[in-house]
Amino acid sequence: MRLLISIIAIVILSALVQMTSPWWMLIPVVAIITGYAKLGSGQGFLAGFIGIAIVWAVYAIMLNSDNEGILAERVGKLFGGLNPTLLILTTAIVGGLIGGLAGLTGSLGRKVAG
Amino acid sequence: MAISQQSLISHVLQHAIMKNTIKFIVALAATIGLAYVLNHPIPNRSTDIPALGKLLNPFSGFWQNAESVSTGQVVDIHLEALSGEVEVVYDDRLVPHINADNLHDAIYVQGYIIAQNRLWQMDISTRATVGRLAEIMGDNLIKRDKLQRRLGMGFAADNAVATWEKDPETYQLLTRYRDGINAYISQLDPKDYPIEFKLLNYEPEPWTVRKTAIFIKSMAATLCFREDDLEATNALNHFGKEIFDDIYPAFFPDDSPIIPAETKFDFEGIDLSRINLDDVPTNDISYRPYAKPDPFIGSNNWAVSGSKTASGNPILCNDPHLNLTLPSIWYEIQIQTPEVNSYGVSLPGVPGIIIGFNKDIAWGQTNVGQDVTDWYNIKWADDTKTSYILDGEKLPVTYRLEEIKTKSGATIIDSVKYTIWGPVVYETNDAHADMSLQWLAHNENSSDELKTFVGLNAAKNYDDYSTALQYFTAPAQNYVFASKEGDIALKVNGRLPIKKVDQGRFVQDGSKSSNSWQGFIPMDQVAQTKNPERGFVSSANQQSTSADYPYPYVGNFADYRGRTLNRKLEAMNNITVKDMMALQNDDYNLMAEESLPYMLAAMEGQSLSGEGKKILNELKNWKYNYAKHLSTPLYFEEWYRAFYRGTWDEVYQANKELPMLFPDSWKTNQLLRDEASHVFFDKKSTDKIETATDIVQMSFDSMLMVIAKRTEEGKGLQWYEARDTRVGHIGRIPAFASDLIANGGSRNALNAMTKTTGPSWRMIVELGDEIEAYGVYPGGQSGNPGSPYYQDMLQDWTYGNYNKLHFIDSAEELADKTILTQHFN
Repeated sequence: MRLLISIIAIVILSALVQMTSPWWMLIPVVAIITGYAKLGSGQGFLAGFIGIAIVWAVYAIMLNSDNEGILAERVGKLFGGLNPTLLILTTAIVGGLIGGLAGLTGSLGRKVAG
Repeated sequence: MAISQQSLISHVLQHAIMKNTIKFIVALAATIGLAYVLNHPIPNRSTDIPALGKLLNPFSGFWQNAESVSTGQVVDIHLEALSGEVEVVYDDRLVPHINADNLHDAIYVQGYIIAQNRLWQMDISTRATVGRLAEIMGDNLIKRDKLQRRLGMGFAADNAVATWEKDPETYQLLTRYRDGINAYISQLDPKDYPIEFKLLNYEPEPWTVRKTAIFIKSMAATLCFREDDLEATNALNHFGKEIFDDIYPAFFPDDSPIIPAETKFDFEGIDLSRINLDDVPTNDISYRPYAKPDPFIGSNNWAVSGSKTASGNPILCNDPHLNLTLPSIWYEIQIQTPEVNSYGVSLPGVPGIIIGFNKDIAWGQTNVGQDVTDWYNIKWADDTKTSYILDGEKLPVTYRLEEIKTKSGATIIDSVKYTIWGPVVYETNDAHADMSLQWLAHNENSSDELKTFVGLNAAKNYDDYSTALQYFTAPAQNYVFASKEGDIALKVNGRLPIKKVDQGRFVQDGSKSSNSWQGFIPMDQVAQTKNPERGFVSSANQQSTSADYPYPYVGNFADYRGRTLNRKLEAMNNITVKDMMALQNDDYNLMAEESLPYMLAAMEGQSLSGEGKKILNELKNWKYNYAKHLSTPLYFEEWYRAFYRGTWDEVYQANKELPMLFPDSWKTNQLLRDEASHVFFDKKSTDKIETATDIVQMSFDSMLMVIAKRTEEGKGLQWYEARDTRVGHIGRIPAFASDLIANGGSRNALNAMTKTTGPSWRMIVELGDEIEAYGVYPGGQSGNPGSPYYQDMLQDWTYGNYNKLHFIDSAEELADKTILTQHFN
């Protein structure tokens, strides 16, 4: 339950922050949420990974569908021939990784702080 | 015991805290490390690997450039600097139709709109011209940047701005345009930057009037830098004057000049005997010349009078041939104010319409081949190279400091020396071989291009056209004209230096002022024609006039398209717009007509079998057309290439040592036809004395080998496959380029297609009571590779189809085709 709520919080709050700040500002947002929720380190990583992967993937899917895939088709070629779906997946994974690490950092930080 | 137990617990606890702290620090470091890596490009040998986090995150990365394909939006934009309201409706090809209360507002919004659609193109093309690429793309471009600066591109732009400033009226329009561009840039968030800025990880910078000058100079360079003075000098020194004059004649006697040959010139010109040409320097010039513009950049334009058309209305056509790029060099636009209503194509970075029409007239351009780019050998006063000799006097060089910023953060200062001729472009250890470049566009002090374009946009008749052209100086253009009143005209317009025959063909001695240009052809004596008897005017980069013109033209002229065009127009009557479309897309190659029959004759009596026989038969039945699915054009091209190489093998040999001039194909064909035992047909390496027949036969075999190899490699033999044309991205990003272009045409055909160049805008305007206009270009209005309008015209262009141009009076006329409306203020 705490995991699910954390993920939802990450999705909403990180999306708000990323709309107005540089993308890496998602790191403190995720870390604070996983720390505050006292998630274990595994769960902290998972919450960050899933939360950010969802935000990045969903937004990319929205933009891509409004664009009918024109740009993703070309940029995919730039990434060595990825189709738009794989490009969205790559986006999600890269976002997930940084979100996961931020989540892990938050959980561990909470343990240190007590 | 108790004590020890307690200490054990505290020890374990402490240990755990320690362990957690270490874990935390590791995780934090990993997070920050990854974030850093994802936010910074990874340096790579050629191009950096972009910062993945910056690029992939959908909030500010490339996904933001995936613009919505939905249409019908109405957007309000408030811009402080506008004096009235401006409405812009975009039709179904994203062509903006600007309606403003006055020209100042219209031009301001034109700036805003071009930035909205072509910002990166504007940035990169001006950077490339003026030598500022190393700053954003890496230190491997320093050498290129240096050359651009040494060619004096920035110098030329500075001089242009200084000239423009003297005419407050047009200068104000330039600043309005600039301000409109900057109004757009200033409201951008990094997420809104064109995708190329994100890939290359840099930011747009404000536009300046100087950048407009730079853009104009880049066009001038494209059109003027095809000179081959160095190569001609080497060839002269290598072969001697007699052979040189034989194989490199400057004047093509069978040309069909732009100004009809029967035109009488009722003025004397100046006495050319007062120009004393000194001997050409005899030192070899070993520099490999700078990368020249593609030799097949050129254009066609023509106008037919009502007497030759089915409707009785004049029809004007223009198709400039330039490098094919995405985004395209042209941007379509309509500009409407109470005084002006004109439609056409503009350049991204230059206000107004360059080629187009209004309710009364239409105009177009092709390039004049007159050589306005000359090299001078510098005679240094001493080894310090701080002063040079001119007419026996010592003159100090002046310096222009060029600061080249690099991506690695360093600034390189190149102090370029200037003599009276211009910048010393090439400087070597050999003190006798340094050269200055004199280029008309360097320090033109009367050029007011914008005044020409504003004048043409508003012109109502021939007199207005004539007046407007007086302000245009470089690079000289063949301006074609047609009016609703029924006039057609063409002017070889621009400042053309007065030269003696052969002056400027070679590197000249820079120590004698007598080698300079002897003034300019007066504007009222430039070659021109109005309503000629034949009922049409035309130009295709061929020689401007017959030899009767009092001034000799020295330069690079195209030898085939002009004759093809005149021959066809001559024969046409009851012309319709459809006929004109077919003519612009004509794929007939006159060069083949003038060489292949003689090549085939040389094959008489050869016993061929199999593939050779088949190919020869196909060539016998070929009509010299370069249709896309034919293989005959490839056979001919390969055969001719081998024949040309075999004939001029001495030139190729010499070219390995020093850059050499290569003979024209018309001269080659003339030898094939009339002088089959010319000494150049003999291969020195054999005992036998070869004739043209031998070379033709040998090259047929070479062609068969090339074809066999292509077949073996699985490469297609159809002409479009062999020609391999693709419209490349201007920043050389392959993913943003077009696919293979499947059309016909060749470099000498009216549809002048090569691997990298072609008709960059095809326009046809019929000047009846209602203007009927058609146009197409190989690209789209948007510079964004993620836009549906990035290359939406490419297919129609490939197939020779046209768009009917929506030349409107009011936005309502476009009601069912409007995809976007921008309402300013």
